[in-house]
Amino acid sequence: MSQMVQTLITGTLVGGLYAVFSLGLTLPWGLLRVLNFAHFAYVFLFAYITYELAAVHHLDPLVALAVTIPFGALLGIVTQALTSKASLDTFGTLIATFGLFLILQAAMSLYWTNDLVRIPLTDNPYFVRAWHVGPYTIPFVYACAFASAVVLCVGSYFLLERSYTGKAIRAAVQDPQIAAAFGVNRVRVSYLIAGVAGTSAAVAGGFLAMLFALTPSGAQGWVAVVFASVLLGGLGNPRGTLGAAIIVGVAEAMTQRYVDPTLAKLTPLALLIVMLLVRPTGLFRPAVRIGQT
Amino acid sequence: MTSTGPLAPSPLTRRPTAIKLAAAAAVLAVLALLPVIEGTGRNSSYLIVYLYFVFFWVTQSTSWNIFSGYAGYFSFAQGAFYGAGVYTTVLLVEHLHMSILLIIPIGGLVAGLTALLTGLIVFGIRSLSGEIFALFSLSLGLGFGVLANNVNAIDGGSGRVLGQVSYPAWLGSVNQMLYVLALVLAVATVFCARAIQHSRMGYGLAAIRDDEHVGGTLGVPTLRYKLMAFSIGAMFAGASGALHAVLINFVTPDAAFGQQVPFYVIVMSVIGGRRHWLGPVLGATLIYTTNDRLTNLGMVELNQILVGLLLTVVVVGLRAGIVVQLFRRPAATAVAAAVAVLIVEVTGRGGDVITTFAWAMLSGVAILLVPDRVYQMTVRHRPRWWRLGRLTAARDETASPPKPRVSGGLR
Amino acid sequence: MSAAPVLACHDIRKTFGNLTAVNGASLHLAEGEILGLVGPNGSGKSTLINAVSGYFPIDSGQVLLDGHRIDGIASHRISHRGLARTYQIPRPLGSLTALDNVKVGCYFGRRRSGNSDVDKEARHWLAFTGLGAVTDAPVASLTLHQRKFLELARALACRPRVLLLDEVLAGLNPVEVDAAIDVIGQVRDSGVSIVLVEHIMRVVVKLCDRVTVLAAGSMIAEGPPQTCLRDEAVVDAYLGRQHARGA
Repeated sequence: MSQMVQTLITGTLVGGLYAVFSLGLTLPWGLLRVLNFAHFAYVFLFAYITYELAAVHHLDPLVALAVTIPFGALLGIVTQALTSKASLDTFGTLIATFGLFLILQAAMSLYWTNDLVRIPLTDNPYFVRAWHVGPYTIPFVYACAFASAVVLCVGSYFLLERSYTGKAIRAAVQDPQIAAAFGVNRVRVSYLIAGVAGTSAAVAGGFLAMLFALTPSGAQGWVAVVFASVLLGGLGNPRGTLGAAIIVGVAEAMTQRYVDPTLAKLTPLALLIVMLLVRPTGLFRPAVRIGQT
Repeated sequence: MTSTGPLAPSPLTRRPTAIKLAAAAAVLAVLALLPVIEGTGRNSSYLIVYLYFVFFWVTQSTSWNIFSGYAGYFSFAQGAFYGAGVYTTVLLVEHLHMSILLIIPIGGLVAGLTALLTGLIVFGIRSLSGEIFALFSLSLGLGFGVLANNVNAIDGGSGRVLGQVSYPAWLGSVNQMLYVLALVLAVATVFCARAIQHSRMGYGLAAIRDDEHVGGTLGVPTLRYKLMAFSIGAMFAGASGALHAVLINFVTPDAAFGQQVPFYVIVMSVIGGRRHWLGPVLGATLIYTTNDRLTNLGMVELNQILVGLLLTVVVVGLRAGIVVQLFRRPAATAVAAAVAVLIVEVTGRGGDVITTFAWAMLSGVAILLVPDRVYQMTVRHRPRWWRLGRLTAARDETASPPKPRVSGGLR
Repeated sequence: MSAAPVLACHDIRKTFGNLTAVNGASLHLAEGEILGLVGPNGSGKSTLINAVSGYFPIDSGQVLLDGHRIDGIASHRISHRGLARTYQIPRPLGSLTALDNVKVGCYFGRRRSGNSDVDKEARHWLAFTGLGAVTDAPVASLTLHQRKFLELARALACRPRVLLLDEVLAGLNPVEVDAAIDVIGQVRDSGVSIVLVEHIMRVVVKLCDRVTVLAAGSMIAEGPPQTCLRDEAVVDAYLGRQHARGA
């Protein structure tokens, strides 16, 4: 029984990391109709930067977040500026940003090589830190990731639902011309969303560097999990993404423990396939339905 | 799926002129005779291998494009059909020692039937929209990749050696056999794609791509056409995979179902152009050639950067792909390519035919990527003989794209 | 009206969540007539057209074309039975030229022409709607007027028995409207029965043999245009009770 609970705990915390990663994809996709595949490269870029700062310059990886987050926001804004100039439909943005992803991934490969790199323990003491509550272990880094997921996702929710800015954003998504007539500055609003997305990339990258060994081709491995979280959670729905990511994390952990470790990677894909066939809009309410682009 | 590029002229109404037919025939004749003259000239036997791969990728991209390009339903699951063909060969050679000439069509059939069944579920029972289908196929494709990497159940181990594959002796050596059969497959696939494009079905698929609801209202049997295009494309992919197994020889699940084929067919077709049968041909040739040259020089990352750059630039700037732009500037492209060949030969950087060809193609592409405004300025005073293409005269006269004048409306 | 109607809708009901867009609407179109479908904004006219043409399934009711039920069957089958429509906001096939758009109608409509006839037929329909000069133009370069008429040409290429025109004249200037009236008249004369959804009253009065008025999802009046449009309930629906009493 305690094994089951531990698996639940681990799965939930991992889901937190998935949520941070996924937020940067779902917000622009749902609210700005931009499917930014380069987001995967962004996360890894920030992971590598965190590695540089921590392993080479011996900066505390958590402190490094303070450095990367502003750059993340900036990168998100720049991306939005470029994609809005290009005036593509959602699918076009996917392919265009995929090209960008290829370029970034190759650049990372040129600079950091394809060899696995990992922040050494001396520079990353958090890696082994954990809390022990009864028979259960709560890894420190994953807990931090989960906490930031809650902050980012719930924060985004409050921003979108409760604040004037959020209402403006949602109005702009549904009908940009009318929203503009009511004084909604679509450009500024879109930059705000993009900034949040970029921030989540920086945060996700930071935690990735603290947890995993990095190699440029590792970005591919996250596509399944992130798409599953994004689509299950409903496009552009930050709380939904958090919930969905937790579901994905728990399902994966359960499969890993109780079914077959090699099939664990298939779990998000299986969830995704079933969901697309049965209920394509996701488990939770999306900001915009797929196909309404 | 929304259409791309409202500025691109419709290539559907083209009919072959005498010049084009002659050029096509000449190219094919040269290619067909090449294995006979193998061993003469510079690096000829590598040329055979290189061209085999070009034929392979042309076949895969064109087969993908029949459904995903013409009907607009982006599929990330090409690997499934290609891999089905590969494993058909593995099984048939191991257990029945069949001739490759029989295996190829069977591989095609297996892949085609798989597509038909999948299509019935996905289009018939559930009727997924274009975008959802894309995501669905992405999940399937990724799933195949994971299975291929992790699950050993498929062939109970880490791979199978194909062993001796029987084929008629008159085809020559293994390389020559591969070359000839790949050429035949490529020609067949391209021919089929062209036939579909110009046929009634091609119009129906275009309607599905641009606006499926409207197409249905106009009487297009959308379900039937989607199933047909999907299955025909898969069939050629499977046949090509069945042949390719001979080259791979040591077949692992990753080689059969990995991400390389699905990824590259998309890139090649998008860059080349998805609305016209020539698009995937150009895209495949261009991408594979640069890939080959740069990988030989050890510049793998540079190759990826180039592919990514081409992809982004084409999608943002050319929308409908290189081929459409080629129809608008055929003479300029030919001149650029010829100049490049001249420079390369004179300065001695040629190396071999393939490198020269690569430079020629890249120069041509560079001309095609020049934005319209700049291009119009520089060639405003071009002579009569410049206008070779039938449509270029009419199209190029419109200096800037006319804006649609829509008043009112709720959009 | 002794002959059976070529198009008949009985008690159509369509809701979108909480909103009942069409509430028990019925409609009869006799062969060779032009039926005007009018009503204030939001009365459900476009929804009714969409429902009849099979754009979405209806919640209840029946649609009969030539006595055969067409509600719930696949769109392309409806087209083969002889129903065509235009869209309020034109939806041309964006990657094709004007000629190719019409060719799709020729290929797949009721006639299902073969390769040899298609070109000639398509050009005929484009000439019929006055678009002979722009056959090879990409649709993005067409004006609104041209797009609307392209829609019409494309729908006609399907050789329909019944044509549903959804506000085909909206946004046209008076000269274009007059040209359109001529064309629509010619279409009717060639044997096509038409349902004309329209706001421009002078067009309705001039073209339509009969008029059906829709308000809040149901029919409130039916009859010849002159009398129908003066009906108290109709004026009330459009302009309010005060005006109705004065009419």
